[in-house]
Amino acid sequence: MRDRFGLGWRAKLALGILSNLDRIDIVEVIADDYFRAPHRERRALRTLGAQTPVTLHGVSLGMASSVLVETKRLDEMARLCDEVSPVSWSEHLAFVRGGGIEIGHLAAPPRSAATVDGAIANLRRARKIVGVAPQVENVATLIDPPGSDRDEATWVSEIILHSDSDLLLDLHNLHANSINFNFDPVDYITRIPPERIGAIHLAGGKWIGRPDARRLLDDHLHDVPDPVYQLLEKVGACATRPLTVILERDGNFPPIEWLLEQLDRARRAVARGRTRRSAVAA
Amino acid sequence: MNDSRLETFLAGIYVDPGARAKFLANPRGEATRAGLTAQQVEDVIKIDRDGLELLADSLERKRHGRK
Amino acid sequence: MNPFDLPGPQFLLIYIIFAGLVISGLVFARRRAELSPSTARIDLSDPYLIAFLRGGEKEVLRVATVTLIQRGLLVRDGKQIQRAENASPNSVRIPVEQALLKKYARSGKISWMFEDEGLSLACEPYARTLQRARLLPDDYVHRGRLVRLVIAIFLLTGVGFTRVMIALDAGRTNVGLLIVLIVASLVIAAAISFPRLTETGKAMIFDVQTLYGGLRHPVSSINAGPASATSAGGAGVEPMMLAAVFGVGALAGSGFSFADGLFRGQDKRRSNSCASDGDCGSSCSTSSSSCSGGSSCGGGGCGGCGGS
Repeated sequence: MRDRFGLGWRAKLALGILSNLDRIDIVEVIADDYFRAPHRERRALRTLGAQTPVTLHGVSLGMASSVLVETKRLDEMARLCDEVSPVSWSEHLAFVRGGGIEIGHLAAPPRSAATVDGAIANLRRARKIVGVAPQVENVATLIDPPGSDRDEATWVSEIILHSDSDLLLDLHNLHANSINFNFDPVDYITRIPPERIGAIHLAGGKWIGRPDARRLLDDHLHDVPDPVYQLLEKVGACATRPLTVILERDGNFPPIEWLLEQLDRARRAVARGRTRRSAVAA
Repeated sequence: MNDSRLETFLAGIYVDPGARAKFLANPRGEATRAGLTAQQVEDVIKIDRDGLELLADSLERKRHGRK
Repeated sequence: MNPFDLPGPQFLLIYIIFAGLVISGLVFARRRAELSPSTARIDLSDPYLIAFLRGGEKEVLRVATVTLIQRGLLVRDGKQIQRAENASPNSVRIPVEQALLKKYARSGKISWMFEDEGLSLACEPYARTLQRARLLPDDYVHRGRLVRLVIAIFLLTGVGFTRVMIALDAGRTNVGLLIVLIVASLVIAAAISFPRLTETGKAMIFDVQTLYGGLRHPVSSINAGPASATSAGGAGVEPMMLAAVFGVGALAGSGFSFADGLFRGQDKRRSNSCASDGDCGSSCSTSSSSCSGGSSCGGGGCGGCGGS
């Protein structure tokens, strides 16, 4: 199987995506948009799946919590997967609720033995209920979660190595975290088991905060910055399996041609990385 | 149990302005009141306050659909 | 108890129920036979193909007319249109557009396009494509429909006229109402037996309208500038696709005031009908999740994976 490059499915991009399937290998659909949608809307995803491979991306399970994900939430994902038959599904190494409080977005949990164990248990249950293990994505964070006793690369690796889930490596999240918390993203990549990197997300963001306390925010509203393509090339050089690379854009949409050019740029970056890897192997 | 208490505590100060204000005014007291372990209390009182405010603001914007 | 021996009013009631069951069975059997288990694959980026699916050749012609006017290749003058001075059939590549420009080399009524054989021929490839995908009925599907209708006719007339014969044999001539019921049930059975689309075709329209739901929000933001023939899925193509998927009427409120009333009275069917059998797809939005209690994501996307 070869590397695949695709876009996040967004209503505003529908025409652009469906008109350019010769340049798009796969689309990623936000699963939560369809959990409570009428059957008719979920059936439309099957029609989309007949046009191009579809992968489902969940955002509300909260897999990396020390608390077990509720079965009914996993059942929702299972039902959607049954109806849509995606080529894969994914979720985040995040927590999204606690003590009945809904955070409303993906938050980085404390990186501790408890959340490692919790994530592994949740991923095991998810695999059992949905039928296939999800890929899991590293999240961006504006705050280094208190209660952490290990760094992110260690924490992510522990979860990956003790579960059946491969990593969906979000390179802009990695880039943002590395800047916000001063660590080397290349070192992070080298510490992830290369055979467990299954997919990549690319996105953009913006700076927020006071000039003396700026943080890079991953907002999916901006173009992919150059450093992320450089990281992508590095991943292309070390990943041993075919990659699924998804460009995420949630708003502030440029013309579709602009997004497709970014996707082509990603293709070239991965190809350069693969070439370097082959040259080293030879 | 304590690990879930930490997540609950963090969720609270991330999304509830009142809880966050109380915490910032009396970090050790609020963390202790939440039933966190001694180590967790020590970790939490060292929280990155700039990051906390940015995160809280970002979550607020998301909830109200603002960019 | 032999139902044929029931008193007249009671038999009429039984016959109405029987006819209802036969007609329901006819509909159920047709839907079951025509709903394909596998998902059809057609070119969802072709607005004319989608327009044909939704409303046949007349919808194709409406969409093509609006597109050519938008591109300045056709000019509207009240209820007439004419090819623009600088335009020729060679200005376009799509056969139905070429045929329209040929047809309106001189000014002519808009309504003429719906009676033109050449334009009809230009739309045939769309019909063939959709038949191959089993979204429109092909010969095999037609045969199946005919067989089911014949069976229904046999049942409805067999039961009804058996009773008529028994009544006449007994010297009773008040069979008029029963005959009316028999004829009415036959008419209804025939009317529901040959919808323009197969069940899969109907489902496909709903799916297409779901997938393209984002085109409608908001209509006013659609670029009414010249459509670029080369930009696949670009902003200039959006109005065309909006009209194809939801009807020319969906352009109201955008920068397409020239389309208002363009086809009013030109054809019995409304320009924004979804299918000739009156079924209309939903105008539902899609991929626009509300951030309900279970979802951590903003509408239509993650809004940033964490930390935002």
